[in-house]
Amino acid sequence: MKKINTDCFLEAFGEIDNNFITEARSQPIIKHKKRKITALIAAAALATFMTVTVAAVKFDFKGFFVEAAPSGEKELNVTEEAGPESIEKTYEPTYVPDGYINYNSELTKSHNYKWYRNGDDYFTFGQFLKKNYHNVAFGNENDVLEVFTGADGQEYMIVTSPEGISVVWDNGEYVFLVAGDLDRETALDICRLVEEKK
Amino acid sequence: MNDEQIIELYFNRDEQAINETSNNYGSYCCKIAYNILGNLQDAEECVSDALVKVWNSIPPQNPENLSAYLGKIVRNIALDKYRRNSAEKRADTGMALAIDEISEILPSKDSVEKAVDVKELVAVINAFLKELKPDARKIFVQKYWYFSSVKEIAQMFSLTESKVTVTLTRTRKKLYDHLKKEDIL
Repeated sequence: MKKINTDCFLEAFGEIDNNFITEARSQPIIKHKKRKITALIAAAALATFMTVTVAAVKFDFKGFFVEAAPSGEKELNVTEEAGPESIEKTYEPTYVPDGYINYNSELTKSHNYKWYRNGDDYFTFGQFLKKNYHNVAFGNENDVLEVFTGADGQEYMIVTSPEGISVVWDNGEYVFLVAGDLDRETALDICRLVEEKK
Repeated sequence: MNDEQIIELYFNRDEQAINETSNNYGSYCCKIAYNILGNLQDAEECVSDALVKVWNSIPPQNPENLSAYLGKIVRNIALDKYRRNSAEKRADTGMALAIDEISEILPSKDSVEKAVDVKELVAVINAFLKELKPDARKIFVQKYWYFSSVKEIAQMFSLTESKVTVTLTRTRKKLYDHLKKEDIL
């Protein structure tokens, strides 16, 4: 018998069911829902979304749509689900800003994460299957959305919020994310230099 | 190499098992230990100790979930090290922040409160976690098992920090109610 206090709680919490430990291990919070949404509905969702974001942001990002969740949050989803059924090719940033180290990684059949840290600053690289990409971090009232087209024609959706920057893109096979405490140009440099790991 | 193959190496007493475990789970273990100790060198020592412990425990142990088995070992080693370092200045680690927050609902270390059987408490916590919605559970386990920061959790799950903070606050309140209901508090 032990006195119930913080030490005792942390000791007991260390012995929780293995399934909870594995479940929490970096899986993106994804709602696996069938998205048979017509272009009309998607367009309506986008129009609603644009009314709450900073004006003059034109949302015409191919392959993605935003819809309102029952909670009131806005969710970014992928329109086209066609793509590999599992992570067959893995990608990674070939450029990382000075001072950042890759301190954690996770590769599963459905996602490939790499986390980088430079002191208290972080950024995350993610590669996801198109069929289950779903991101609730997008589209809150203080977010600013921008679509940027690179010299090679690749489109990136950039979301700048008080918590940092997120860049999402789709290479036709997978959805990618770079998010963290980065300035816009640095984030885009990382995105442009994401390459398949050989 | 998958977990089954790695465990087979342990059973064959093939030292390659340690390399493969380190390749697959080294950074995962290091992150757990780092979140507790806040020092990379100490964290790496914990991971080395954990790998030795795994080598010495498999066989006879045959874990079904190697990552959780290994994670628990490294977490316990790091917690022990954290307690041993108690006389020294402690870093502002993920665990220190987690303790601060959970102490809002739990008696402090030095207070005279109810005695509880740890196994019983584990069962009560498991029942509580089972009742949570998966999203809230993942966030709570990341905070109190992995000792990840709010910022890390937000980035990990593509959520805003405010969403993570609100979810944690609500879940702690639910935990408090659950512990009261189970007569733990």
